[in-house]
Amino acid sequence: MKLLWAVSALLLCCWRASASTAGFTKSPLSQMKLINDSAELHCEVIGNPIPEVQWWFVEGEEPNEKFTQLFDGARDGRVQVNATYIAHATSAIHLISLTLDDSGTYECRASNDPDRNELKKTPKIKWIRSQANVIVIETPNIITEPSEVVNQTSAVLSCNLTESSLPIKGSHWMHNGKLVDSSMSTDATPYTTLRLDKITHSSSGKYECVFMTDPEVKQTIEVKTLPHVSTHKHSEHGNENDKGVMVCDSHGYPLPTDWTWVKEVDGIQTPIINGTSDKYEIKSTPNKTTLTINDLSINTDIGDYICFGTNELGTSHDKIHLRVRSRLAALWPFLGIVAEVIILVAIIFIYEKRRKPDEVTDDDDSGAAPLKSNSNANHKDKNVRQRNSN
Amino acid sequence: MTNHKPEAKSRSDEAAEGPDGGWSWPLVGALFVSTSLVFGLMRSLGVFFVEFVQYFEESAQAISWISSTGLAAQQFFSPLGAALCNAYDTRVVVMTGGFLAGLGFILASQATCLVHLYLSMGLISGLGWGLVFTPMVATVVANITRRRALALGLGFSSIGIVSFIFNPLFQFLVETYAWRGALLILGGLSLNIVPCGALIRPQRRPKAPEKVDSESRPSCAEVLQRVASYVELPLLMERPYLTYTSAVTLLNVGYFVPYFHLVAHSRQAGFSDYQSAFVMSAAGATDILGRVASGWFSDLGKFRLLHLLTLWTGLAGVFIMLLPVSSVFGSYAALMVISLLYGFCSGAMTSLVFAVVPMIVGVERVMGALGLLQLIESGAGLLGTPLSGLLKDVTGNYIASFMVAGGFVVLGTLTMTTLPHYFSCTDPPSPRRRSHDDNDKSLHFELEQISRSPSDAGHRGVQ
Repeated sequence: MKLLWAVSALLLCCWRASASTAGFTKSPLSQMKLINDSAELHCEVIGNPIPEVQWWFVEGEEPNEKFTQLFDGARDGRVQVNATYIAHATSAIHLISLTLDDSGTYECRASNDPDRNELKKTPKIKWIRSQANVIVIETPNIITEPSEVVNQTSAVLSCNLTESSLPIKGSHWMHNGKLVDSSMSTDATPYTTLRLDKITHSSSGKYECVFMTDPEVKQTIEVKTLPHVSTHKHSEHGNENDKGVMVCDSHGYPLPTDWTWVKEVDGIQTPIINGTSDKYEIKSTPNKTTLTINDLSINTDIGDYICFGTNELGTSHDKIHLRVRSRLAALWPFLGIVAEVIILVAIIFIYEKRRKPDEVTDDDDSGAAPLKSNSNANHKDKNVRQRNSN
Repeated sequence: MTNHKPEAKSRSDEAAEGPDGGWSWPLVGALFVSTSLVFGLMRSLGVFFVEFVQYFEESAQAISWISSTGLAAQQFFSPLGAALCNAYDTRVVVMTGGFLAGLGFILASQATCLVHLYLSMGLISGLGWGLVFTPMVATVVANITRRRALALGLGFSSIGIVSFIFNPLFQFLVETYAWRGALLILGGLSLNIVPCGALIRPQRRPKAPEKVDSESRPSCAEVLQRVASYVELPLLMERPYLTYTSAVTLLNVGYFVPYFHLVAHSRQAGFSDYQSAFVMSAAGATDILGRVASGWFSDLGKFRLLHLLTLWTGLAGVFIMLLPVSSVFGSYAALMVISLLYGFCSGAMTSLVFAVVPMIVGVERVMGALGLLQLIESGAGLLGTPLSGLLKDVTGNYIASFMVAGGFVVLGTLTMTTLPHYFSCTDPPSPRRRSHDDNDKSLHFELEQISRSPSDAGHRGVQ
């Protein structure tokens, strides 16, 4: 009997020993963010059985702390919680559109105790916790000078970082999302400038001055120019009764909002309106416009076509000349060549007939019988003489 | 009676050079024009492929099958061309081939889908080219003995020279007439092969078939045997020809690889696009020079053609292997020099490859020999470039593919040295067609003449 109790106690101990308490393998990290930015906290816990993870928001100071649990979709959908429970537990909480009220301490709690949610039992500290601070600060003001560059040939862009106590590690400029190499600086000054000597459509766009603080702060200055409208081919070819396609594209900032096509014949311009007939089709995107002319005719469709691109600053244009090739255009050179071939062949045959009319019957087969020939030109056939003389 | 055979031999030599002597150089001109219209045209079709990709909205690979089909058809139908020339008149065959080549392009100008192009530009034109190229080369080889290599060199130099003219010309034609009109005009241009064929003297007699039986319906076996004799199939049983064909096949696997990969390899080695393209053009220029120079030099008679050929192929193989080595060191000058030397050697080699054939098989069988050679070496071409491309994909650079290509060329050279009588200083006597029936026939007629001579003498009178 005693032996049975001992063995069962041993087994129980063994079974219980295979369970392990929960432990953090990854804790959430504290961070500082700007208003309207987003923050993400990660938490990973191992244990057997797999622990459950919860996120709690802590307000106030000890001992008057107020705890609020954060579920997926809390704070009007600004909170997203993503958890996986495979082999170990991971959970990530994602906060978007941060406000000043989101500042505080966030706590990751985990437990694999089967009684963890039991309210009737004596509350024991069965949950392990790990905390991180999220501080949301007002976006520091960056004063840009000028706020916008419109139709200038050169400019000096400057940014001044005010109202910020954050340490500055350096600054640089970005143009349309790409770093401007010469603007990298490690000065801790809150002031940076960028010089644009010659503003063309390629240097227009969105310029951002970026200050390397934690978190990064940046401001955008727009440099706007007239659109640059150009075509790849200034001379287009089309086949008769086929369709002709003409393309204009635009570079620069801002991209054209309106495209129009105009046909110019002898200085008289007639606009082409999309959809009036089956003949003309215009497809436009801010980058590119395509004019398709169906059923080309030599009489009416040859001429210059001008594409106009308009943005908020003005209009630019470019010209394409359309040539219509006749279907039968290639026939004449072809017939000419065939005639030349026939004439050459005729000349060769006639020349041959005239030069050696009697050699047609000359048989100079080496292996077979030379004796068979009865042509009179066989003077050199000595064999005949020899044979006959025998 | 004793004088019969030597007399016949000197007569045929005379016939090879004598009355045709004045006529054989226009033949070289005909070879020049027809080769340029076959291979020069084939190589300049790149302009059209850009248009086809746009018009038919197919991938570049699908379009490139057109030229592959054309080339494959040309090489595949070469024995057919040779056989038809043996059976019928060479002149008619070449003129028909020219007509078919032109017809293919004319039909292609009306194509509405890609398959039409495969059939017209690929198959029909390829068939036409097959009926033209081998017979033209064989005719020139048969008709010119003293300056054979020079004639071939001049004829083949047309490919390089004409590609300078055709590329801009085709671009202009496509711009002005659209690709349909341009193809139509190209068809007309290809018809110019017909007068080239007309320049060939009409053959006096078709090659006598093996049996002169008087059966009205020859049996199947006899027809096959006749066809085999026209195609010169028995040649495959002869060791010299077989050795030579395998050597040329091995050469073909490797020697063309640089033309495909040199530009890409130079760019990879760090040279600019312009520099890489210039290396290619320079190699092409020395190729033309090599063809003519080697042809002229070989005909001086100082060395055996076979020895010169092995010299050029060996050097070409070595230079191919040196190509990646020179660019690995980053020296543009070294790459340029080696490419120039490679171009010269590969051109020198092409003008001799066909000139050696009559020495191995005899002048009468040249037609069929060349046909079979073209067919067999076409397989090598199909193998060579994909293999080098595969090596490049696997190893990441072109060094391995160049090495392997050069290795194949050197291997081909070594195979050539196993030809019989290779190491003798003079050419062995070239084999003449000797079949039992020919011997019997001549003997028979001699006997006939002897028995009939007195009455004949009476008839002839004058002699």
